[in-house]
Amino acid sequence: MTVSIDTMRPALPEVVPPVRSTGPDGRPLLSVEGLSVSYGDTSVVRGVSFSLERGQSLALIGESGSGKSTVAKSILRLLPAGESAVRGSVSLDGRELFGLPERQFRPLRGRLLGYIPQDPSSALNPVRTIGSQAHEAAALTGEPDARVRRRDILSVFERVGLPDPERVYASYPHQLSGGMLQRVLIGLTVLPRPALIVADEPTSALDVTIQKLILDLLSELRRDLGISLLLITHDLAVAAERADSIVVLKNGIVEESGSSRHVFSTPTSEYARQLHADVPALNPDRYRIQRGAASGTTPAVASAVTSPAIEVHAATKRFRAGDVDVTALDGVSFTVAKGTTHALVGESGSGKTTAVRLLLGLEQPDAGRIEVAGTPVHGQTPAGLRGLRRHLQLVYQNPFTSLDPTWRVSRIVREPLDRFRVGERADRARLVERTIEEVGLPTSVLSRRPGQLSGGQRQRVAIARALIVRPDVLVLDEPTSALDVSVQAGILELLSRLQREHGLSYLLVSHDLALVRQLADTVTVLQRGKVVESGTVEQIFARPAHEYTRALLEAIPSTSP
Amino acid sequence: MTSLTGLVTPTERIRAAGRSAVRVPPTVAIAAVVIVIVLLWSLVPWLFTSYDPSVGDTAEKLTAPSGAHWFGTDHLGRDVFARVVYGTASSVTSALVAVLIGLVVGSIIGLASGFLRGAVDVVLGRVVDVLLAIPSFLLAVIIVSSLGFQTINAAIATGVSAIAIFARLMRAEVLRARGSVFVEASYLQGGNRLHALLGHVLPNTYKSVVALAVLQFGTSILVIASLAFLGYGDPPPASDWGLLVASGKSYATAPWLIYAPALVIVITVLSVNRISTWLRRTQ
Repeated sequence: MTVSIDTMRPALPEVVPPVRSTGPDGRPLLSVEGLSVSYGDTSVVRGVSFSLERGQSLALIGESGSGKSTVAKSILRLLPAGESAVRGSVSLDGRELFGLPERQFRPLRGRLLGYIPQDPSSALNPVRTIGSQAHEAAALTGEPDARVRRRDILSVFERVGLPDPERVYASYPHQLSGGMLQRVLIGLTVLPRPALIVADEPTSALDVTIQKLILDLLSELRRDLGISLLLITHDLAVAAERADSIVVLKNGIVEESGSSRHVFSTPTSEYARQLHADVPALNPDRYRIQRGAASGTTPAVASAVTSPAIEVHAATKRFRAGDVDVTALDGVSFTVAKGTTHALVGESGSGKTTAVRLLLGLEQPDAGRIEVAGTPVHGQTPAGLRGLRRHLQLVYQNPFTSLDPTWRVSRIVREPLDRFRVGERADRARLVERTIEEVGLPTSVLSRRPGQLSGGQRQRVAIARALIVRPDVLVLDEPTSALDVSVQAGILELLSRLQREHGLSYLLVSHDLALVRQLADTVTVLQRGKVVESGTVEQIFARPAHEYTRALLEAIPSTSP
Repeated sequence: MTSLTGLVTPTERIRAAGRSAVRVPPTVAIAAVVIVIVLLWSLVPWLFTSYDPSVGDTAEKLTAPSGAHWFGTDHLGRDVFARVVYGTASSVTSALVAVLIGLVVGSIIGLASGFLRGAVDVVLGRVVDVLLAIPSFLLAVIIVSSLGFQTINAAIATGVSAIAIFARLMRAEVLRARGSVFVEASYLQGGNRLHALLGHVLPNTYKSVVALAVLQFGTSILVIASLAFLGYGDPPPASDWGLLVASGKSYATAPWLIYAPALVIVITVLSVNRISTWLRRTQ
């Protein structure tokens, strides 16, 4: 089991706002004017203009399909040649990049213009050591002596907070954690001392506590080395916390731009206001108010007297990996009261997925007892387990894999009805239509296949499928982590409404504490298979007792830029 | 006709637009035309030639290709084009039988070993290993020798030798599909293993198997023609393509007796392969 050292590092000091400085000639480092990109007849980016001063940072934000990655790629000249038509001008350090022959542009890559990709594990060659790949980046410095290059690489590894640089140098990518790999890539990007780094969602593939450390590292390097940063993100809170100025993109058009403080506190465009409202970290009480208004009292208190919907008692699960026993879950206990939302929080490897699989009867526990509405999950006959699952449904994390691509939506939503033989045959079609409308989709989607739907629509279909048999408990396994912030808000809204209308109990599995604060009543924090803390959301957020909980809480982007 | 367009629902219009958006490369279009012609030859051969394939005019024996006899005539004065056209049915049908045997038996073996795993997988896996270890042509020769020298037996033999390939592909596809999240979701929605197998695993595997089946159809035509060439098919006066090439080789002065049927075989197999490649790529 690889234990990431990132979680053990103390938090880096707060970022000091950099001193505003322009280049020697007073021109901005990067200036984009009237940039338009189209693929065939579809125009993806339309007339985007912005500029970035030396040593400053700018965040390009928007949902997927807004054109933010296309803008980044056109600055890096990584757009597929021949398929895309680019107009406008991009100048870097006073040099016009468009129209520059490839031969003259290539030396600028790396040396003047660095790039940090989204997923560090796919950006490195898995069959070569980190060191041998690092030499490619080091060669950009023009240093002829391989020993000097090696020394430079080791020192930059140390600079980005990698422990034991020699070991990292000799390692293969799969031997390092995601956070360490992203540090390697950041190190290699800053090694040739570029003037500008383009970071495309640099933390979206990483765990929350590591996300914060990586963003801290980027801010620190920017301040110390005077490198400008173009940060591409879908998260307004991250943008506001990390960037000096923000450009909000929607459908390839700049909706709003200006200093972070300005865009964040007094957004002028409707879209920026919407984005602001959709970010969980900024609106902790969004759904709580709705729910409170409906029940008139705190649900956790109201239902504490009735029997719990889920009771997990001292569940333990071990896996054999080669010759070693790995304890995925170690004596974990929690209860979920009827009609409330309980959140299971932790990073990857914390055992939260194992807990869900035990609860649904997909795995057998080695010890402990799990009951749903008073019925034990394990030791059941297949028929008994089937009956239990009728009242216990799961919404998967990724709607792109949880729906059969060869089925139409009507059949997908109908499947549980047919399997559990609910209602008359003739009524089922009507029930399918009603449920699809209930999750906020038009009935026209019923004749489509999942491939023709967006991510948000697919997740709504998955929710409809789970909901149609009217279960008492819905297990939500990171239900929005594959979705955009604005799509996420729609799904959360829906879940919150359905809970109110049907009195559902939710078990929410998440690594995102901001989301948990919005949706959950009670929380259990897991670390390496053990419960480190549990209680009501108010308790945990106001007075976290455990250090790990505090680290998770700190990972929520701060709301005061 | 104008009233018809008004009846088309929006979804149908979208679907029609989607269909026209799939661009068919010209080589695929040509290949498709070739296949259609070959299929028509096997179904309604009398529409394509006025000659009788088994009756010849000895006065016109071994004449070179001409306007009257496109592929020339053989040693009995029979029209070679007519013999090729009338031989198509036997060649195509036997290839279809071969593919069907390989597809059905191979898929069942692959499905069983991929879905049930465990002992079933081990046993069936070794059977497939044995089948793969024997060169397929040799296996076909052995099977025909024991069953009897007939085209249908040659087809069965070709089919049996293709079982291993289908089984391997099917097993790999089933393993991929049964590990999918949506299969697990089906269990949670009250489905049993049979539902998962027929409802989710099978529909998600058949596409690549169909592409292989088309490819195997071309190979089967070639293998059956080779078997017929070696005399493992129906005896003359049958006019299987392979048999035509075999009987033509005795007449060195009349090369068209070999080239004409050989050309038909080559063009048919190439067309089938082209379509199979295109099917696989456009999935």
